[in-house]
Amino acid sequence: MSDFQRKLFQRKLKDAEKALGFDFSEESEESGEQVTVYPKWSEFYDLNEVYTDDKGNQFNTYFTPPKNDKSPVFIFHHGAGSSGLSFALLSRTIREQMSKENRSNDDPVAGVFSFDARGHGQTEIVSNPNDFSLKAFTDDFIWVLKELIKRHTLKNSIFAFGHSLGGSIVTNAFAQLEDAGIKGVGMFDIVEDIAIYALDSMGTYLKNLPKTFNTLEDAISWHIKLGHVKNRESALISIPSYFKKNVKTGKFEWIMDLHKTEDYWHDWFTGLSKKFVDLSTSKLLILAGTDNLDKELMIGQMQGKYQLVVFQDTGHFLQEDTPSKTAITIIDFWRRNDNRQVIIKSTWGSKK
Amino acid sequence: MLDLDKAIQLLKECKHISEQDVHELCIKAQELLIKEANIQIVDTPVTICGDIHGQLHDLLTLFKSSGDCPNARYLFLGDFVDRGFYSLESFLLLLCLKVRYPDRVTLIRGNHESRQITTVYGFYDECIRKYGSANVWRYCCEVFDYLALGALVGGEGGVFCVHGGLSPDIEGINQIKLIDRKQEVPHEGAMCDLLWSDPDNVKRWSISPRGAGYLFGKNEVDQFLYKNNISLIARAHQLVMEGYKEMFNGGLVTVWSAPNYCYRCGNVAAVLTIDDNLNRDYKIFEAVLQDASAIPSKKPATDYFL
Repeated sequence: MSDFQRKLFQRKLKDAEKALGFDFSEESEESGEQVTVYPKWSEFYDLNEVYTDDKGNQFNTYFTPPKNDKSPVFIFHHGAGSSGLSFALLSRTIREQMSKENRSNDDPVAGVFSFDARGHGQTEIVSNPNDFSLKAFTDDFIWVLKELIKRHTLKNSIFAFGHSLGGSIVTNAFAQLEDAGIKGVGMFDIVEDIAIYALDSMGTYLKNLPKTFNTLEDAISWHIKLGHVKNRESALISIPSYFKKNVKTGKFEWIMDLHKTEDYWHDWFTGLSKKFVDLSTSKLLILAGTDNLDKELMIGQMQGKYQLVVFQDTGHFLQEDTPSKTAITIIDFWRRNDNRQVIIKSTWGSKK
Repeated sequence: MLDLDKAIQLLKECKHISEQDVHELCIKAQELLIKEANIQIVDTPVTICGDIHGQLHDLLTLFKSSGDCPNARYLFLGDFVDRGFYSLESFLLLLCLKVRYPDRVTLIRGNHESRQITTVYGFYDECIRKYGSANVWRYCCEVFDYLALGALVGGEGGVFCVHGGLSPDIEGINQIKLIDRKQEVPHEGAMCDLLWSDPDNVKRWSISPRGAGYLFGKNEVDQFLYKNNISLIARAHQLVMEGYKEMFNGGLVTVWSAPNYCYRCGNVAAVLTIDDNLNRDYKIFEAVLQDASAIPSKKPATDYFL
């Protein structure tokens, strides 16, 4: 029996008990909490370092170094309300996939890096902690990336990917990062016009968001039930990192209160599509569901300015729902666009 | 029995034709297309048209402005389907005209004439919506596999026509004749490149940002024109806001025939007529449907921006 099935069974049993007039809910909830074994970050990454900047801000990072100099390093930035561990399963899948494809010992296996952005996960911001502007996120990202390169003396090709708001941040950062060796930028499921359109209903969405969950399992089930994450394997590592336990009440509260970011929502996305299309590097856009592009992205795509990939069988958190497909797409994107790898052979002039 | 003239009339009115008629039409089209070479030889005068993408009403405008078929001769450079709301009617209309007037209509394959692409960009869903099953989509995809890969207009010194562009594996037009084209568009290789590549201001063959095909520059175009004794490469595949764009001292032109692409891009469209003396005449036309807000679009989920 899988954990999930067992949970379901336990819940049914509990309902049946209630119907019969028994109520053991407190005890069974307690023991239920103990049954689920949540995976640890160390099952996905080699290192969990805290990067402290000169203002005293502490960024929680996850990193597995690249196998060798010819391996790329993939950097991931999560979206609003999420955390670095949203990329845990994808990161491991990428490395497994590349190792599988290796023929010799010095073949490349990518380094993978993600971190918790300000206000999220275990990152602690002490200077202007309530500044959630695109500029603040972008400055953080640039600092963290440069710190990563310095600490681990990386000389590898770097590809940066962002999910949702994270896509906007990596796009915004690229212009200032051309010297950091970034060879490509990718955005996961973010289209400016559609994001801005979705903002109208965000107020209602946040109002209906449960403030607390009794258990982490409840939080995970809630996310899965609403389709925010469809893949339980990923949810087990990502969702718990969005919550902290209130020692007084024993309940689980969101670490990131999205209400605090409301003033910045438009700032996050305005002008994104044009900025992305105009980037002077290789670009990848992966969308979930449909090819719902706005005008700028549509023109850019039909002029061949970037690569568009649509995953039809996934929700918004595509890196979590379909880690294998996302991994393969990212590896292909790296292979095509890392100029250390690519030699174009032409047969022209061979028959003279 | 399929009545072609009646089907043409119905399709022009954007009306339904029976699944059986679609099947019969597709079989007839295959019988015709199987006899065509990978590179079709086309006489002048001819009007060359770029991407249509299911914009039936704009296709009808095109015929109105450049002359009805069979009075005028047409060459379509592919991408008949996807994105627009009338991919099926547009493609079937072109197919009817092809079967009815084989010498007056030439259809070549675009990168969207593919099973894989049409399942993502709308044509598959449209067929399911309009016919309740995937049969019609399947019949059309069979036809896609038989479409020619290019055309040569006007003989020596004439125009080489292809959907995308050149390939580092294809130096001479004769080499294209060796390709076994009756297959789904491959992910790489000569056939893929012809349907996917783009011209650009590059000094040599370069990686295409699209993820398929290559970028080629003036050097490659000059060599290709010289070696194949032609004066122009006419291709489509890239949206041009002004409808058409000549590059490399007039050695290559991009022709785009879907005005206000996908009901939101605000571009005009163009066709190129090549006369008996190989003179080029561009005709610009505008979209019938200008208002994007009238188009229903899928509403995003509320968690979208998180």
